[in-house]
Amino acid sequence: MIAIGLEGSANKLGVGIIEHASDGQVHVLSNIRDTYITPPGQGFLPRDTAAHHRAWVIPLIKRALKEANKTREDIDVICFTKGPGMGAPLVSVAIVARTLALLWDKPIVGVNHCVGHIEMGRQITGAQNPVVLYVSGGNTQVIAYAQRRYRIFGETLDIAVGNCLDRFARIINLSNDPSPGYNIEQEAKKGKKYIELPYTVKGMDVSFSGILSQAEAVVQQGLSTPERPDENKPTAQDLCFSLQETLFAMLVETTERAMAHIGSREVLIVGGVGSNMRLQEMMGQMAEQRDGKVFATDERP
Amino acid sequence: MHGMHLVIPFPNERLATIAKQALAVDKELRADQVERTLSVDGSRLIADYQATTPRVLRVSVNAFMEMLVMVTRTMDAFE
Repeated sequence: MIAIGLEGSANKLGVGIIEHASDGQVHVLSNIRDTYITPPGQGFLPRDTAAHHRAWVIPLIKRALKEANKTREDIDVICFTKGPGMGAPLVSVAIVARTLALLWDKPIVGVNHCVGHIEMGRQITGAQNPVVLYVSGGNTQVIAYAQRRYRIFGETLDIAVGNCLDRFARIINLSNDPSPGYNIEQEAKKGKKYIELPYTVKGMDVSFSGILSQAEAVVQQGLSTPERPDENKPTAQDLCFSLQETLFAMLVETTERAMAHIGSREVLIVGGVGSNMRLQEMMGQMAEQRDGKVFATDERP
Repeated sequence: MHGMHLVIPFPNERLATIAKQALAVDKELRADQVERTLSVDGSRLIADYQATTPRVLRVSVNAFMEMLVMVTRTMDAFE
């Protein structure tokens, strides 16, 4: 069985074709993506993001079919992100999925965005029954599978961890290319001083908005820059380093708590922030102490 | 009330029906201020709007047109 999947819930638009062979093997035949990138200092807004997706979705479907070496006759089912996500981008992609399904007379399946991340993560990494840390620009959840459902054990109470990182990138005017989170990661490697920031774990839940406000306040108080060095002030790199250490330690703590609760020894990190090597490293250290294992997909946009 | 009657011709009845089915799924965001009715007459798609204000009517019809363009582009590319 061959499925074509359409995803456009945030600023990344993607079309993938996946084959489930009769022997149970799964093959990714193609995975074509295009990211809507805004200038430094700006986030992506629903209206412009939707316009980007409308412009690109049909060429991406054509490229996906060509790269997979498949035609409409080969496709058995059409899948699309039903939600959650930004309204206008979701609608712009869903209309194409529905039209395709009707044109080709194929069944259509609406997919939950988060479950898409988890199942892809499980498929790529081979994780069996992991605690899932789902971290992206729009979502932060600690999830485990129980009684035939993916259950949310803990989550952010305000903004997603990726949103916090992205907005901090805007504050210090980092480039959004290839992604603000990736650029924060690179700057953090050059950081030397740890700046204390609020540590706001609340049981199994986390809160990031206060941390973002505090980081912004530190920036407003003035940074040490190459043009105007000041050893009494932090650099932007120091703040990137400190922000990552604080946010990721919080995520590690809540994930560990979920592992203890359900007796799992596996952690699967999915979502855009899951690409961050420092997060994977910190989670790996925790899992190792618990005789466990961390899985992370290495797909980077 | 402010109304608009749109008649969109398609090459045949099958494509007009597909367009109606694809477009009908997404409901109007402000159902209390705008009402949309879709129907097919032969090979023509008919869209009828009733809205409380010209602005709401314009916003809704614009959004519909954007989605209609996606339907026709998809048909052009993959039919």
